[in-house]
Amino acid sequence: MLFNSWIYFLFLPVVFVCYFVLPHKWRWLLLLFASYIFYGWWKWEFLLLLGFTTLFDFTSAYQIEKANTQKNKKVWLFLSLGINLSILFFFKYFYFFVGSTEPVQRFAHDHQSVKGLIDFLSKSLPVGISFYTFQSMSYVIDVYYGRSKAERHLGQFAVFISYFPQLVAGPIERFSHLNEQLKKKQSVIYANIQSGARLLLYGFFVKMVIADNLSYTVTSVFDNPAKWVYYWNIVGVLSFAFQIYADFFGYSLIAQGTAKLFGVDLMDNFNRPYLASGITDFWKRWHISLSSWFKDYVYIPLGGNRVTKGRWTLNVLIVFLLSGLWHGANYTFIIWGALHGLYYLIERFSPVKIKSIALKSSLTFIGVCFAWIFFRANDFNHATMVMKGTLAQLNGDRQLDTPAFVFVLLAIFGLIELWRANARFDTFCNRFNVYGRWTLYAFLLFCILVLSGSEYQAFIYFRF
Amino acid sequence: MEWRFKHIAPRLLVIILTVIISAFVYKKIYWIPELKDQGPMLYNLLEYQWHNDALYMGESSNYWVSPDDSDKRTISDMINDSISGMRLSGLQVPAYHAGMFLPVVKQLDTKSRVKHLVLTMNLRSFGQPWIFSTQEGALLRTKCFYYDYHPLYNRLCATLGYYHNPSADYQDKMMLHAFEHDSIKVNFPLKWYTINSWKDHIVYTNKDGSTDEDKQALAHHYVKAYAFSIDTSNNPRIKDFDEIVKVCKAKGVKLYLNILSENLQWADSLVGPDLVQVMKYNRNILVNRYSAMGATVIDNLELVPAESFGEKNWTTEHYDQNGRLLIALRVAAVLMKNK
Repeated sequence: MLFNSWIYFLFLPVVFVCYFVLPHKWRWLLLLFASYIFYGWWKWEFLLLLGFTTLFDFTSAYQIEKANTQKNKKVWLFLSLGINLSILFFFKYFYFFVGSTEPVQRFAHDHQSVKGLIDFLSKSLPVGISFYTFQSMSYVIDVYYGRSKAERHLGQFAVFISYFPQLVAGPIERFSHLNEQLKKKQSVIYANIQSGARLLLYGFFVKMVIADNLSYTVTSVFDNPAKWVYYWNIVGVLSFAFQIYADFFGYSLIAQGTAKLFGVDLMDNFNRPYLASGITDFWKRWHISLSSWFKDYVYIPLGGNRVTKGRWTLNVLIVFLLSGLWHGANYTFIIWGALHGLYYLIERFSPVKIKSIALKSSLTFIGVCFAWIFFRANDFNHATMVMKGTLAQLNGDRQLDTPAFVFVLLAIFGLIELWRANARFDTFCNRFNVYGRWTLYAFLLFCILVLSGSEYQAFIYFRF
Repeated sequence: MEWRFKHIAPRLLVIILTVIISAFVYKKIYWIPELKDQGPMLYNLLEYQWHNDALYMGESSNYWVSPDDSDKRTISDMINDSISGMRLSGLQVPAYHAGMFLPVVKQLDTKSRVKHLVLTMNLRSFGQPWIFSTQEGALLRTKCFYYDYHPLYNRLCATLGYYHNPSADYQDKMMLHAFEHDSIKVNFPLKWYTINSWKDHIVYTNKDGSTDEDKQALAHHYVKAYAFSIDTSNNPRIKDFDEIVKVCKAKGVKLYLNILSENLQWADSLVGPDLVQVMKYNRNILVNRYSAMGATVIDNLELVPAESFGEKNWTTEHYDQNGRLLIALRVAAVLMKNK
């Protein structure tokens, strides 16, 4: 189920009412049922996979806690990590690394059942598999290190893994942060509904009005960069930078808003990343739940910065390459990750230290936009074509007919983002009196109804 | 803040007012420009219905021209040039079928000048490859813009995905299932009764014994496109055309169903006379059904000769200038008779 679908507008109020009508002891069951419906709406078959991951990691964590020896703990930890990563690899990377290779294709040609499997894997990626697998792995690792206690209630743990607001595209929550909130007896509180509604409203505005309206420009440019005058190619790349931000940021806001209605606070996933004054700063502001996951579960276990310079360089590159690969099975994502790793190292080792924050922010933004070309492109050649397009080497002569109001709305979005500074949108609204607030709400609602992109578009991060 | 009526009521009022103002502003300012992109057939209808006595609704067959054509006029333009005292304009969008025409026909204003409506009746559109086309989801999204509700509501339906949107995988699966299992029910004997069994028996070889891939693929394509029998109780196109007939009657508009020419000569030479017989059988079903319902069926199935079909490696209803003219003159003659 998509947040921006008609069914979600029915689903959410029904779940909300049922949740608060039910006695507390049965609410976990409702949340689990609702979350599985939410996930299974797309393809119910993959619920089995979600259920298996849940059951296996529940057992693993329990066994880790129960184990008498460190060796037994380690066995269960590696078993859990191995199974999780194998499932992830099989569904997300097997086709790319193995299935699409010539010998396997040749073998599949003569064996119908193998061909069926290869075809299935090439087309079917379980939505959100990277998100819930990482969330589940972090739980088992936390139990292993004693940072969390193993959950004894299978149903409650299943809710933690499948909690519908953040199931398919995060934020990737930590057990210690989310589970206690899910277990807590919640009641209908006006402030929660107010905050939730504000976040939902702004989230739908950011996704449906900003991201979806930019999609036409982005698709036109990336589909055929040779067609357009060079500056439209530049606009296309910049538009993608804002489209992916608005799309994912919008999703995160809707997730936070939905959870807030139920009294649950999800972590912030973004903090105005394009104002970052360096690549290190950028990764503290962009997809925060994933970057902190990599920091806590990959970078630090590898030794973090308490190692030699050479080893540290390697650690940084490993983290960024894995981060790229996490997004999808394609060389373009690996290049994207490698570029960010490279930027990170340049920033660290560069003898030139820039003092102007504006200049640092601008350079960071340009670097990030350049890397986005690889993120969006289908393959390396395609990325090269887009780059040539921006450098006027393709001699395209067509003008794009993006409506001017799209850029006006983007500017308004930019102003709101600048104005709210570090405050989340729901608290930002408190700066206004009641008339100011409701004028803002009315404006956002008007934009959603009248000026949203008319295409029905899934969230970009759903495919990861 | 507390749950008090005096707090909630004004807030609800602002929301309701915003929705009302949005609906008003959208209809006044944004609807028509958006319709031009998102629902071109209705966009043109809203304009053309006030200046024309007749409208011609169709798909790409209306405007496709061969690169060798000196006469680039569409079929509808040719008809317009051949009907003295009447004015006709064409409304056409590629891949449209009766399901797409229906909501547009419903929007025809009874006070408009239009008294005659010509609709293309494409035999292939009744077959599985078109019914289970992967384009169907996109067409059904466009259809949202054609409904007779408030334009803002229609827009929200399209934006929030409130329409049947079958996935490409699902459509492919349904089509392959139909090829394997749908029985061709006709009142004469056939050698094979499903598309798969029929096409599996068509093999073309070159002189050196190798498979003539191109010719075989084309023959198979003819079987897929035409080897079916119209099930009048279940075929979605039948339901849509039935509804169109009723709507036209209710609006007092004379309806003409233009059965488009198909390449029967190629069907005969590539697959055999059985396929041609199936095509004619389906044609007869349509002629009999819709004539009985009061529509004027213009049967052009066999009108255009093979050399006038524009594309030689596919089944389309794309004709060169001679083909288009033949159809246009036939339609024009019927229109003049009913003037």
